[in-house]
Amino acid sequence: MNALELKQIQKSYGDFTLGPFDLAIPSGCILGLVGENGAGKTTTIKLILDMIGRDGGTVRIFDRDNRESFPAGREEIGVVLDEVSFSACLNTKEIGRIMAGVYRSWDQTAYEGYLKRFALPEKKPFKDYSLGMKKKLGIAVALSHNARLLILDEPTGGLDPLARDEVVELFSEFTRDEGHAVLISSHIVSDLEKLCDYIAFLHRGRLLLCEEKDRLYEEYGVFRCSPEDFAALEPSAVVGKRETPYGIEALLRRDGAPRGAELGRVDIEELFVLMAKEAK
Amino acid sequence: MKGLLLKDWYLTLKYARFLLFFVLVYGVIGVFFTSAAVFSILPVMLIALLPQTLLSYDEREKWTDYAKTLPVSDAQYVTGKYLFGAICYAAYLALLAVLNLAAGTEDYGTLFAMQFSIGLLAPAILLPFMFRYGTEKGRITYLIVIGAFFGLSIVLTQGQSEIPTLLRGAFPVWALCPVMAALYVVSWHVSIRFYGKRNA
Repeated sequence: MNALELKQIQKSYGDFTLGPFDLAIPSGCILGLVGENGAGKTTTIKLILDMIGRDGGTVRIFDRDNRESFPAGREEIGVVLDEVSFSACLNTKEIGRIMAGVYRSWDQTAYEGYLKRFALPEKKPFKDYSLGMKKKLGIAVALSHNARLLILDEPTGGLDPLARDEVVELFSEFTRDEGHAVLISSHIVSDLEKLCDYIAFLHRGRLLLCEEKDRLYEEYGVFRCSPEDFAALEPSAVVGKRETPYGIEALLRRDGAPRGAELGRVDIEELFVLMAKEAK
Repeated sequence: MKGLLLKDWYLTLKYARFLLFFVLVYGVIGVFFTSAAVFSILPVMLIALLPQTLLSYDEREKWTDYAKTLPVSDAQYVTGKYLFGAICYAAYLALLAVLNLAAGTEDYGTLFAMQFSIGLLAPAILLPFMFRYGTEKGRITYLIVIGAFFGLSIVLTQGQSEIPTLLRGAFPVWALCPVMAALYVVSWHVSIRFYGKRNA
């Protein structure tokens, strides 16, 4: 079963149009949403959560329409927005009490466990938290009401490498339960590469690809060659290219690469940059 | 809903404690110093502004965005503000009633009816604008509407400074209480519709 399924989702804002596109996350999986600033990642997340009206398409969460299952369906979704927005004067204890009154499935023991794990002070008001502490508190709340789907918009932004590693491990633990799933958008592609089973590229509102991460490595490779060798390539095999002082780095579909050509492993960031450049 | 009310209570204690303090002081002055009649009305008008104040904080701190990710509908969010305002207002009026009865205030029934009605008027008119256009634009829209209302009333009464004879004494002050309560309920429903439209 898919934990999340978008079909022909679409939203227009005057000079910007997102979609239409389809996107799905199977249960037990983590999908990473990669895109430049303004590509439509946050808009996609807002559409999934019905925070903004959509112009077309459907959103199904655990096989139920997100509008029909609202608000009870929200119990199953843990959300961390780009900006964690609790009231500045509140401390973690008060936030816990408020959330216990908001979520029927609130788990105070789990919440206190995460506060301890993240070393978040109990009495310090939210306004005195660092950016990293705010993110950690947002994550603690998102994980403390037995959610089955996590929707995370730049959750590791502002975290130091150690904290990022800890958080990435936490999300990974979360999907060890086959009934759980995660949608995560991030600029820090190395985190996504470490964490995700599926990768989706958004560029200027268009979905360039959505694929299993391992298949991306199998399907694509980087061919470093001279301009003459590049000119001889089968055009349909070339997905993108970058010119460097030493020649050309071409992103190729492995099945269209010349026989005997040595293709280097492509990393996700490189793949996105080359594809996005070609898509311009 | 319980969580929303609790959040508003925490915010009131932390952000509006000075407002609460002055409202209590003014209230006591209003009860025990009969020459200071303005203190009978001013504090109820101030306490009635609590929902607007809390809504401004929610917007400024982007809680309104975060609330949309919670199992809380727009209608519940709006209802929370109206309910919290009504609870605080009722508690304050109850406190004033105890003080007035203790002080043996003359014709307290009429005073209560005035306090009850005047305090509800501002949130009943202002909140729908704030839910529709946001707190800043909502305040401006409110000022325009109030200005237009008073301008129109001046035109209609042809500049007479007194209330037209026809209206004077026609309505007992008590009659305003159910009218204002009904206006508050209508305002609540309008705000739910407006807030839903704003987020569409």
